[in-house]
Amino acid sequence: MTDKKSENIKIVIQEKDFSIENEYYFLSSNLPGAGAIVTFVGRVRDFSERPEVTGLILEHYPLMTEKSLSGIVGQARERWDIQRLSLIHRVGELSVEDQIVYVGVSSAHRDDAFEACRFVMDYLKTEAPFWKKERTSSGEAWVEAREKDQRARERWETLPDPASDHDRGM
Amino acid sequence: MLKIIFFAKIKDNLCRDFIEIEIETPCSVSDVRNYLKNEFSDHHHLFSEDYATCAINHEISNEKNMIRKGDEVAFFPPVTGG
Repeated sequence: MTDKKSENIKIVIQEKDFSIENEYYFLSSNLPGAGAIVTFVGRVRDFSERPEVTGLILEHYPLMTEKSLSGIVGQARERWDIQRLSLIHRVGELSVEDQIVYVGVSSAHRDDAFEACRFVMDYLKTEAPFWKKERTSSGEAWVEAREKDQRARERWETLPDPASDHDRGM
Repeated sequence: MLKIIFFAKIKDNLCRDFIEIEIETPCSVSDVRNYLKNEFSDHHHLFSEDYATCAINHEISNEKNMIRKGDEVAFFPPVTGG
């Protein structure tokens, strides 16, 4: 649907599925300095507060979604040494076991890659305007936001900014 | 005339994805929120401060932010992506 791609940063919102292999290639090709690649995939699971989830409908607020995701990725780039980053979020109708979201980060060192990947997910879950509606055998219902996602995000606000560290080990 | 757009549960419960309201601009987010609570009194809880977020021109706003003529204004529930 929308594709925002600079040489090293890729932010995409789309209905279609994504290929982990293609994203790995984007994160790693012709990048001999990237010693670490961390990737995360979020999938549709078959349970939540309601049992027997059969699928999801993912709604979003176009234009604001892109702005929000760009802002989150921008913060991650200021905080960690990121060589390439790929962020894909699907919208529309999804079934159990479908992939929903992808975050991949390549960096010289694993700490930057792990932390940046988690930071992007934690902020995306609490800031980016996406909404999930679950389908079950007994009907459809909007997913409620969870306190634990808010806490996961707040954790970053109290942590020291690694960009201010002088000694960056492996 | 100010157009307010709705998403997700707010849109579903109101059975509409936008409303055009007669309100003098500039006005605050809080003014618009109160207007919507009155307009949809059966669903006023959908516009409570701890539930609905207001975005102005695609940026999350706070209650004191001002809305001007021509701004894109949206109200939506807590986000649940990822």
